[in-house]
Amino acid sequence: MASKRMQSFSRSLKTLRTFNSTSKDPLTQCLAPGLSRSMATETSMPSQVSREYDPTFLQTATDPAFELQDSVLTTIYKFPTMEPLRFESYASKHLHLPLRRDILHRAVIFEGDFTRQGTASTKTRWEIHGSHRKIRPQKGTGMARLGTRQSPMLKGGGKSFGPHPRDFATALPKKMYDLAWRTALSWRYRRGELIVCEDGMDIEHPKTRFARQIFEHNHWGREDGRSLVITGSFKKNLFRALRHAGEDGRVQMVKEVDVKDLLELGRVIIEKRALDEILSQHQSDLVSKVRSAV
Amino acid sequence: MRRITRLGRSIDLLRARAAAQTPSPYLCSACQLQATSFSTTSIRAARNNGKVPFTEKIRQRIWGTDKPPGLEDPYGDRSVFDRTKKRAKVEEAEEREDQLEEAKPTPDLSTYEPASTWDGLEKVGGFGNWWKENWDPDHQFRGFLPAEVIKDSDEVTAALHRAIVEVFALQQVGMPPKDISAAIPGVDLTHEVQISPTATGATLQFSQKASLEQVIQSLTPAVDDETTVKENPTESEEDVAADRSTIDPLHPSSPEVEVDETAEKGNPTESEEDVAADRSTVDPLSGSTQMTYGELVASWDPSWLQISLENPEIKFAIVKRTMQLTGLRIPDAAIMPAKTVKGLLAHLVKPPKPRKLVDALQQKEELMNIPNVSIYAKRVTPIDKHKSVGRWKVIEQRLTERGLPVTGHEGQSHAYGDYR
Repeated sequence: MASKRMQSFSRSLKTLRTFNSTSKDPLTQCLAPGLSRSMATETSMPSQVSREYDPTFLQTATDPAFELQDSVLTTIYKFPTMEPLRFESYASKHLHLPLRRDILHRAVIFEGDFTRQGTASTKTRWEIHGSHRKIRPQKGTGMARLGTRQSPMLKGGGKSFGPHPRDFATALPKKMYDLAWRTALSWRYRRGELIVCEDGMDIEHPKTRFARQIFEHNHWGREDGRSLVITGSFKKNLFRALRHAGEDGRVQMVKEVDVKDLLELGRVIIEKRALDEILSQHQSDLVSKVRSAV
Repeated sequence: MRRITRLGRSIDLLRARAAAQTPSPYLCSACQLQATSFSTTSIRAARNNGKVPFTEKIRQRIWGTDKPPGLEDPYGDRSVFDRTKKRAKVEEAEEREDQLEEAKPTPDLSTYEPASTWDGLEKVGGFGNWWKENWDPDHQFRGFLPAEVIKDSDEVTAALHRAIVEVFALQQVGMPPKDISAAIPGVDLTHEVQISPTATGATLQFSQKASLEQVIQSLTPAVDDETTVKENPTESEEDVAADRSTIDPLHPSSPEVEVDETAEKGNPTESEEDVAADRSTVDPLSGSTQMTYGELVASWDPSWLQISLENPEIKFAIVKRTMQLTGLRIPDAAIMPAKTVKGLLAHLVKPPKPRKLVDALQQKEELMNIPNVSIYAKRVTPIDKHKSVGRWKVIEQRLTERGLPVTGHEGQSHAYGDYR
């Protein structure tokens, strides 16, 4: 580490000699007058510099401390052409969380339970229509004893322990569910499968064959694992085009999306406002409910 | 078939009298009328029996000729059905004639070979290609990235090098580096440009073959060709124009020289690619293009990999240009940790992760070199072992001789444990 810093320092020395006026770094600017004269004791210089905190050593890719940074960079693309427009930064607690399979699993199960319709219904022997007359005498016929014709062992009888409408929903702490949302997005981000697009994603023609062209050109289609397109609002052309392009992917509005959708397909192409909406609505574990009295 | 009764018409009186001669004379006139209107034979058939109908007779007498002018049927033309039927008959006859004509010259069938595959055969019928032929050519999608992705790692490295040269050239001139992709990439001029890192960025050492002015010229979009400009052309155009005017003190008279050069070539209005192509023929660059990309990459001072990407503007421009040149989308997770060019390149030239275990194992040199280790894509079955020693054919032959199943145990009552 120290040698690396020495190298960078000597490099900066070299550059200072070549362009001593153009440098913008405040550190080198304040050092510049000292360097212009010949120094009697050159060894004292590095020790002076090393007293200053140099954050660059944290940012080398191999350094484990690299993960400590508080924001991550995201490229914003223009939608159908996928031209990079600019970099934006997002909080690393939003898009750079570690993968927690357990939390994702719980969230997916929670959603699955919540989505269950739970309308299966059967009739018990008490609900089946008909007379409760005894079918045949108790004794003397040589056949089995039978009471009413609603008996579960008879055809047309009731169902003993059949399903009845119920709510399958399970509970999950909100903070955990919110963490799952951001973990899912972070997982996509880390795998390079989160593509953030500029607001106003739409395509020129409401044609499936045009959408196919776009997907094929960008390597989003069936061969590349299909893609989920998430928009902030309804986009007529895009939705009409992708309605029948199911084998290449699907399009959803942000209010229709859940964690499982984010995890399902090959990649997520998301409008920026949709991403912001998801992140702002799922940060209950980061933002305290009580407003600070400032 | 029984005909529907209709009300008597005045013309029926005429017809009745005409037809009354043939049936039996013992009927009264009213009965005769009824009988004729209920006759089972068709009127037309009766008419065509060689007899001239009474109305025709009257017409002939009026006109005084055998063939009076006017329609045969004064009450209307022939029905649509009759007309189409007649037309169909004519067409059918024509078709038959055509077929006969076609059949007449007997083709030389000695060289005819029936196709065994449908490749190259003419496809007939179907409506499936309408959209493909009529809609698609006018509605082609053009993305920012090229459709074909560069896969050769040396070529990708060269593209990254080019992107860096171009970005720093723009920076050196004072133009905003985000305009890097304003022009469609033409011929690579930056093969011989050496880059060396400095604290603030990099210095470029241009060769005689590619000067700074030429590189900048290749990056500015052709003014006449608006289609080459991708996004907000007016703004960037203005910027470029403004910048160019301010550049001049730094590089005196260079834009004028460039303009003159293109004027001499005589095609300033043509698209960027054409200009680039012309330049490649004129320039002595052709010698370096014969170099392979591997040699090219080796010819650069490796210190260019140490260029810092700390400046987000520079980083963005380099990433954008590299994506445009290679067709590879660089994901954010790879862009973010790349602090130097080396980090970016490490992502770009990384071989893809093998999808199958066999591929992963076969890439391992140390495994492949061990003499007693061999790697198979599928499970090695007893049959494979027999095959490897050349015994399987014999076993197969013996089994078929005895009428036993070669593989599996079809027709046998037990899989194993059958000791009969």
